[in-house]
Amino acid sequence: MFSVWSLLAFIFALIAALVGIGIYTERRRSGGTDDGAIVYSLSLAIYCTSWTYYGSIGLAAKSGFLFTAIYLGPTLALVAGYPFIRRLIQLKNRLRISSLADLLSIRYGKSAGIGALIAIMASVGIIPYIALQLKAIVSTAALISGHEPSAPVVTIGLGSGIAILMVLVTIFLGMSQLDSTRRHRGLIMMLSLESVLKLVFFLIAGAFVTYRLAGGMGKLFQDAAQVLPSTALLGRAGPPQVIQWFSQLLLAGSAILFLPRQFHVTVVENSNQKHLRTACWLLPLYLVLINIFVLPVAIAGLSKGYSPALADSFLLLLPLESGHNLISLMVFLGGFLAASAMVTMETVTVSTMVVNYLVYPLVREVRPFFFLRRHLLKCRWFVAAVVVALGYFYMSTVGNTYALVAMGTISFVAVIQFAPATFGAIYWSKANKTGAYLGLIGGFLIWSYTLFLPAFAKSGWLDMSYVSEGIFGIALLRPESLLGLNGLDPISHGTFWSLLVNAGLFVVGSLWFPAKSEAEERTRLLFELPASGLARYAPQSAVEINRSAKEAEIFQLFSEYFPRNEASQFAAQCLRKAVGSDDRISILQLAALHEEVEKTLSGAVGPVTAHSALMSSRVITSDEGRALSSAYGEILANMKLSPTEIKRKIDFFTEREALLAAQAAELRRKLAERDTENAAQTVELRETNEKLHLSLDQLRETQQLLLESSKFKALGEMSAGLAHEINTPLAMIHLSAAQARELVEEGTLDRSVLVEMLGTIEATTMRIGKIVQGLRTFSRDSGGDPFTNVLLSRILVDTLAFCEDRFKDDGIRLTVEFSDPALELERHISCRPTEISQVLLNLLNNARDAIIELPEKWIRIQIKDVDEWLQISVTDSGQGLSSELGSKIFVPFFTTKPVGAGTGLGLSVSKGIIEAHGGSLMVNHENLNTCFVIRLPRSG
Amino acid sequence: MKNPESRWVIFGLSILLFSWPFISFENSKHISWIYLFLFASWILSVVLIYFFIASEDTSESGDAENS
Repeated sequence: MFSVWSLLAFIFALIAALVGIGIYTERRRSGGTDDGAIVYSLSLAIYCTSWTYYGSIGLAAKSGFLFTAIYLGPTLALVAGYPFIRRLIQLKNRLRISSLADLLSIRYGKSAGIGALIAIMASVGIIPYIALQLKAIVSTAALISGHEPSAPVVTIGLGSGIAILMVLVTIFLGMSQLDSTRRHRGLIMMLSLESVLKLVFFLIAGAFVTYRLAGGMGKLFQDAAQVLPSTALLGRAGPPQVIQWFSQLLLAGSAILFLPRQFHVTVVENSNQKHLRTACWLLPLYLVLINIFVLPVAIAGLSKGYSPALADSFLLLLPLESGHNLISLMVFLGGFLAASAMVTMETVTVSTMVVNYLVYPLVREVRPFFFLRRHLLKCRWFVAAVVVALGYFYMSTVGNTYALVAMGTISFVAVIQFAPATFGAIYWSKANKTGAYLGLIGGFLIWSYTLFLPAFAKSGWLDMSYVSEGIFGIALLRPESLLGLNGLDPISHGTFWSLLVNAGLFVVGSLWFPAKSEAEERTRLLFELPASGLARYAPQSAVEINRSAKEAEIFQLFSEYFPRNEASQFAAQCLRKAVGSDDRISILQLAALHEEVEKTLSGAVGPVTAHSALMSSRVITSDEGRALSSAYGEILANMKLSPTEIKRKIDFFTEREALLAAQAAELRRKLAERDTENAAQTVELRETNEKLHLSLDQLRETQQLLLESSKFKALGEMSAGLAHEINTPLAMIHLSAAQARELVEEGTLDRSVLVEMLGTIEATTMRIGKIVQGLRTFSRDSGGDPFTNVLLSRILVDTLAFCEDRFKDDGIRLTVEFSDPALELERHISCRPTEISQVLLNLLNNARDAIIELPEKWIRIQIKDVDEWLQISVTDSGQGLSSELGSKIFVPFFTTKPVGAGTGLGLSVSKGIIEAHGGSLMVNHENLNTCFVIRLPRSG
Repeated sequence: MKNPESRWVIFGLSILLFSWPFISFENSKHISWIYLFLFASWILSVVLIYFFIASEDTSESGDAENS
């Protein structure tokens, strides 16, 4: 057991920690204004109040699985209602609304009456609900502290302490600013943390009871059939139970949308529409988890022999009576968090509606209350305190009666009355103020008659005969069997009749009493149009207004509701947004200014009061109003559009904008996909390119190696010739030296003979020297040599020196013919001599290889001038080349020689060399023999 | 499940799972079965919603950050 004061200490410590985190979140600037999808989704779990902790277990003990409908309803509503909620969020951003009352009052002609009606309905439905939460805290505190629920220390000490704490938290985190449209990041963070804690505490306590105290799920379900009442199981449900099931689904589904606190958290506190997507699955998952142990705990309590009347307390009672105080404390704190979250948020929303639609009109219209205009924030605090105090008073007065216990579900039926007017506002263009009034009033009256008042009768506050016999004793007017509709549970019955009357009157009222004022409709439409978009249609003679005079008017209006420094700041801000830095205000800028002023004032006093205040101010004078109307009239004339046509076009362009936005989003997505693909392809291409570069480098190296190989091949071929070329003079030197030695030995050496012999040796060594020099020249890389003017016959002599003796030995007759003797003596060519020698030697060696086996072996070199060319023909005794072979013979690596005998590069390299000299190398197919023709430019 | 109709398919399926005749099966001797059925159906609905949301275009129009 815990003392009341220790429980209060735990509560204060827990709340202090959560408020601390809330303040930190509120003041933190680095995270931007986005709450994050998880925080947003968890804050929606404010739906789970203390009823989830206690009432659902009680319902499970009495009605089996019926409690799940309260949580399945929101799951279904989030699936089907996603587009609707999204639309509400969009409207919130556009219209700066802070409650459902704002939304409906704006939509239905900025009607203060509609707002006031909703504020009254919400208060009547919600204040008992707040009382229920306070009652849950007090009752569980009494249980855990061992006191009677009516003990003053509990009801007055703890109850009032908690009520004051709730008011302070509400004011501190939910009402610190006058602008009610401003989001409360700290409060939302606190709510989401409370959601996490209450889930964790429930799961721990539920698992403890199920597995530690009751022996597990299997055993519990074995006991279920014996301990649960026979009417509890759905399997035995008849039509009334099925209807009850569906009505609970419907009520819970609408509650997640229309309960003031749910509307506020879901719509007003939404920082990013994308978060709604996460909420659509995360909130249902939360609801699944928090309900897993509800039925097992109910069965466990009944199995232990506890009365079904105590079922609400099973989760607390079972661990408490088994001596596990810590688990009980955890349950108590979880239930407290669930209740306090609901009370805080509901107080913020109900207070805002009450202040905006019931208090501000008084403050604005009734002279004795004028002084309150500058204390609007304090008014709101006061109303919040009154709301919680009324809840506390209701709890203390009504006590543990039906009127309190049943109030949770009855409140659900109250808020579903907002559904027809809200859906109509969004989706039905013919919905109007008259229909909304009739529907809301009719539904509210039927709800009061069939549910609210009978609850008081059942609690002994009204004569019970009103329920059993009907008002004035008329049986057809019995509130729970209206018009003889029997067999339904009271909730389904009240839901059916109130919704039927509400929706029926709303539709009939909207159709029979269409909007009367065309002017009002036109003004509304015109104010919905952005002023900048109309600028090009604006009349040239538009009135211009002095900026400072207008700023003074706005300041005067604002100073009625804000402190003077804030009023001045807000006035300057509105002018800056609407007019910029212009000294004069055009008539269309005045319209934009009007909108800005109204928006700013709406945040403080609600849209309807703001509208009224603005209309009665001199922000737009009657002359300016006429000028504005005239300007709009002229604009309409210029646009050649009627208001109806404008509305049609707005609808069209709105839809088109949505469509284009969707298409743009799709395109963005595809572009992103394509960028990803392109990035992958670029990487792949880069890798392929690198590989190709590598391969190309390797090819170049290979080509270079092959060229070197070709050269070495030519050198190899030359070596055979060199043997002959050098052997012959060496033989002559050897012979001369031998003769000289013999003559010396015989003593017959004549001086003149010796001189002749030495002369022969000298000439012969010089010849060898030339051959070696030629070889060295040929073997070096001559690609970078400059072109030089060289005598052609010199090149021929140097080339033939490598091969003529070898050819002679092979029996090949080698001849050189100049067409003109002068050519032999004078013809110079500009070339790299070594390269020309290489080409000639290559052609000569090819010719030798081709004819070496033939009976007739000759090679003829012919030189002649042909036009501007010097032509060198190398013809051999072969039978010529076919045209097919002639086309391939210059292709690199093509060879007719046996494998290993040739590289196939000789002719292609030779062709490249000659072309680099500006000439050509070709096969002369007209010649009967094999004939290669070199043409080089003549240089002199 | 990229079609908006998928939302209504999930809704219809969930309604079907949580309505007659499923909730009226005789189960007084097998309460564990209906418990499993109800929670399994519920979790299935959540999973389907999750996949529907995940597969939907993440850049729907109007999904800008609110002011």
